[in-house]
Amino acid sequence: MAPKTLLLLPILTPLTFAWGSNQDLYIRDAVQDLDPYAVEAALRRRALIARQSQIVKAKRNAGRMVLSRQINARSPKAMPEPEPVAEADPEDHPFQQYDAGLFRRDGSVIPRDPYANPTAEAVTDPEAWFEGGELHAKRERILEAKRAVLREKRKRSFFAKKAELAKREAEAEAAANANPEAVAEAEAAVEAEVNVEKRETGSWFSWMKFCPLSRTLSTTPRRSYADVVDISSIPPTPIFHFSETESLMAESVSKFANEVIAPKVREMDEAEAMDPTIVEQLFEQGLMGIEIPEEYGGAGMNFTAAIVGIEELARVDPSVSVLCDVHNTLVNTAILKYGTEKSRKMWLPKLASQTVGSFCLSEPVSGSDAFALKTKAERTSNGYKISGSKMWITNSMEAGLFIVFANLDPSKGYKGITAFVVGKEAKGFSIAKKEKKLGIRASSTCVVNFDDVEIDGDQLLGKEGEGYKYAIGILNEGRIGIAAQMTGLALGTWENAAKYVWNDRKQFGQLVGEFQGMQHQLAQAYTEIAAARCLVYNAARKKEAGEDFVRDAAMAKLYASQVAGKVSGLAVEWMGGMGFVRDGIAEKMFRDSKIGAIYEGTSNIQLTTIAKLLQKEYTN
Amino acid sequence: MSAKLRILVPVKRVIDYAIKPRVNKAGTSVETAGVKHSMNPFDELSVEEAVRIRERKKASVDDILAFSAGPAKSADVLRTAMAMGADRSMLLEHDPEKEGGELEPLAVAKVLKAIVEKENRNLVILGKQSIDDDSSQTGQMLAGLLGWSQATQASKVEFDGESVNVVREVDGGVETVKANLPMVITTDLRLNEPRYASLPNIMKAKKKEMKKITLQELGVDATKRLKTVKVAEPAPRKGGGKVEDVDGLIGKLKELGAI
Repeated sequence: MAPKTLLLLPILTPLTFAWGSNQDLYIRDAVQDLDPYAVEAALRRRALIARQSQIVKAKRNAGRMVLSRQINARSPKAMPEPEPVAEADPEDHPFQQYDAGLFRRDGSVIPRDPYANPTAEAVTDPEAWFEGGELHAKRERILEAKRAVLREKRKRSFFAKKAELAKREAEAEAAANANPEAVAEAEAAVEAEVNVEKRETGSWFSWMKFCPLSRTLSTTPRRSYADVVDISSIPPTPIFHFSETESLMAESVSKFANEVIAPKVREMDEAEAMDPTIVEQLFEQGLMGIEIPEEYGGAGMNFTAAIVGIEELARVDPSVSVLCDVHNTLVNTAILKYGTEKSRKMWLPKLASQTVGSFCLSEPVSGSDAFALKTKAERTSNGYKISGSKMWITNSMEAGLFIVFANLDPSKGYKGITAFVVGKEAKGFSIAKKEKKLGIRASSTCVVNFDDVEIDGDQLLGKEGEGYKYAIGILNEGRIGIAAQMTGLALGTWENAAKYVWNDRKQFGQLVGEFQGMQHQLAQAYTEIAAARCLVYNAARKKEAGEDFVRDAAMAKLYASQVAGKVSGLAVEWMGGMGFVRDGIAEKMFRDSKIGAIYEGTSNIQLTTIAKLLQKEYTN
Repeated sequence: MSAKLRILVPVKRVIDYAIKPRVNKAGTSVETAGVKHSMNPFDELSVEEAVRIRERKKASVDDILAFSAGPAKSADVLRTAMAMGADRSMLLEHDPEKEGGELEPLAVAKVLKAIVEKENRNLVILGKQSIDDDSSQTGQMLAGLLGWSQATQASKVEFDGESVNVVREVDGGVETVKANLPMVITTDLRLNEPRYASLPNIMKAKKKEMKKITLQELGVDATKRLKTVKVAEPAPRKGGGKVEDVDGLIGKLKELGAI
């Protein structure tokens, strides 16, 4: 990769310098017609320069500190020391590492690509976010006006700012020169960081992953203003305010689920198998490529739309919902976020139109302790060889594509974990055993074996040794999907029971739903469902807005699964005998709800994550 | 191949078919506030048929225009129509709350006539009736105003050169009528099975044009001619009885003096 990049550099270097370190925005706008690989190379070059200037900046910072210390010495009250940047302990458990901000050195998220930087998505496509409803037009106007002002401001203030910056930096540098000790300290710190990176991956270029390099180039001018549009003054909406597209989608999916899936739910549950025509229709409806951009054959919708779809499906059948959820939020997202352009082109069109995806992380020995996985990968002359066995693999019977996590270098521990894409037809791949389950029985869960499965080099997903990061990142999002499956389940079973007690079942001469004892229970349950849905949609919107959502996702999944368990249990009781028999969906929903506390992070893992993040916030 | 088809598909936003309608407290109309609305099911059939005419390629379709008259929320059903395959849409905003009730069938027919002329349409496919008012008049009135042929309650539509064969279900069998374009077709239940708007098509519909027009622009006088005197719920059904077998049924009928 690196030599090829370097070869391309001379072509664009003059251009790059011409732009200097000005915003990416201009570059992305200006180079839309150029070869994207060449542009990527140019951006890499820019990042290289940025890194070098980081050292210079560190010097200046040191200078500023000297200045501020001098000021403090004069003032009676000492100013607090600048907060140290949280550094993850590399020996920590991987989950802890992530929580400590592994991807967020110096406390900020550096966007890797538009899919990983949801702010861009959210704000750049206000239609997806803010359209619909009465406030839409108002928001649009505000946004448009803001953009116009920003454009104008940026034009006017660029030179003024530059001059001012130069002045300040000169001051800082002068101060730094007066205090060489602090400068040396800062330089050493930066150097150490670079060296750690070098040691870890063997390439000095590895630090590039912290720069916005692999970011896909913008195709719309609107997107390029994403980073700077301030949405804080836009009137906030209720959490459940859906955009026009989202509500149209909810309606369409709900109709599809009720008319096509509902008549088959019982049959599929009894047969413990997914009806292939349902899978086919999910593809036809575009439900298997919700977030996949249009250019790869998907619907190109936002994350919340996926959540809406998963929830609507779960209201009717949580088994179909989980098939759709794993495919969309785990498999598609993994390739979209971490795959190279080549692998995106190779896999996404298939995933959007015909091939079900499956996510193979768990093993007999590694569940909650995901990175204790034993599946191994070795390099071969033209690719890799995977051997091992995966367990609890959702969608495995239907899937044609498997994202497999295997350790390429066990001596590095979890840092050897690498993600691969394996096709069903690969030699040595086999499905060993289909589990017989308590709930979501129509969804397949199998043991999957990899007996020296040889794959090509381009079936590597992302980079070697980064699999653990991908897994954590994807599962954080995935939790919101599972939470939506659980709220959908709760809503579905509540509605089913409510219709029965308020329309059909009479005792003592009145509908059983008329009794206050029933009414209060129904009201309490619905309130809890609404609360869980608030958590779910809040987490989804936060994710879309590019905010930190790890705790929100964990809370949403924890609470949604608890509510689903409770409400589905109550629903059985409310319906009495009719809830207990295998004619309706009440008992099925009750069985289905159990999985919510188990997969994609057990309730205890969620609690641990939440507590850890809270403790961090409240520790002095 | 015949002339290019420029289809107009009028759609109406009505209370969802699965909702049990309730009369409002004042007894003046059906309660619409806070009730789920969707596209009139017969209109879904007509959108679907228009799209299928294009897909079957028997006739060449130039353009499918969806139109709706109603409150601002009617934009939703137009988006649905466009997600199902209509090329563009027009919305005539008419709030029944503010403007003294819904447009009457004749007013709607006049509006449609104006649209047909303005947009140069040569085929109108509309639902045989809307499930809220059940007037079943608009299509026929429109054909009359335009002086076009009409084929109502279609259960099959086939193009044959310049002419169109329409099969309709009548008492005791089916009837096939043949007419030349331009014409008005109203759709019946068994014409087709409307598709679900797929997600990629929902996204595409976002980019399709939705133009707003007013009664003034069309020069249509929508003065009310009808007065709703009273709206009341039907008397509640009295519970029936169950009988075990045929003998039981005969016994029961005799007991009631029916036979």
